[in-house]
Amino acid sequence: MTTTISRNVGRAALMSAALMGLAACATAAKPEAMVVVPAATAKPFPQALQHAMCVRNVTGGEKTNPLWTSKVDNPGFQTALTSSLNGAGLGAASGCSFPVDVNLLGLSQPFAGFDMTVTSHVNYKVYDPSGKPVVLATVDTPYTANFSDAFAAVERLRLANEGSIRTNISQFFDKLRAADIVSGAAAVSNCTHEEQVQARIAKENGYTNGPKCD
Amino acid sequence: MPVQMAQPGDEALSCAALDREITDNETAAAVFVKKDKRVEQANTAKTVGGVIPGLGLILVLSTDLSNEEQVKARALIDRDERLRFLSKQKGCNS
Repeated sequence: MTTTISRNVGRAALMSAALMGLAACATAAKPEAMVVVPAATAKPFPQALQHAMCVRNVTGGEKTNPLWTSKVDNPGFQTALTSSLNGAGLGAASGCSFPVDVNLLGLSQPFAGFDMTVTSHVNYKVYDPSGKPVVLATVDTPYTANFSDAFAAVERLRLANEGSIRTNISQFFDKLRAADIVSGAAAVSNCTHEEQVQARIAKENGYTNGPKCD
Repeated sequence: MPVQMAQPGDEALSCAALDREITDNETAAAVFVKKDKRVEQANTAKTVGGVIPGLGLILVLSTDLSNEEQVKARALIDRDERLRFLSKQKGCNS
């Protein structure tokens, strides 16, 4: 008798679990969950980018169909990236010198599973004031949300999407930190990149016969 | 993994090499776009077939959400944008 009751309770629990996992509606990735907060110890960004960047265009995102799977849409990504830039001291209050265009190439998602790994593929294009691309980065970042993060599969997938985009923006920031951007003024000069570097080295060492790029 | 927009050695490519890669990328992107449409159609069919008792679950679970073809096609189109910029910078086709 006790065994039969236990079996029935077990079946009911399994059925409930399955229904909760399947019946929940998919929701879009939340912008606030995709925002990157730079670590205090992180390498500084190039001086020229400070308070000089803005997100100009975001393309390639998809709207979430509540009956299907969670996605990342363009406005959500734009909000997350703008907030991340502002938080890192890169966002321009007015007069954006280094606009960023983003192409969300796509999200590689699983259909089901306990551990759900989503990989986001994003192209970032940063232009200088003359319109020349100064950073062209293709960033691919996987992120796994497991069963302990969320019970419902649709929820777990959304968390994986958000985590993947957050990591993606973070890696984009690493590429910005490593970028060799002299200054907005130098970027619009007629000097080649090599001449700009030579001019900077000459200036730093007090030489007067280096290329004139100012 | 999608093709990287900017690659080492890009600046050194000749006009002919740039033209060749742009053409190759256009061809490859068109193939990926076609494949992507086929995957989408198959996914739709699997979703519709999901109502079939027994077989339905297997069909639904085989849905392909990798977006592999879409990602590769879009990456190639962006790569071409980079190559066209270099081509223009070098004064190719002028």
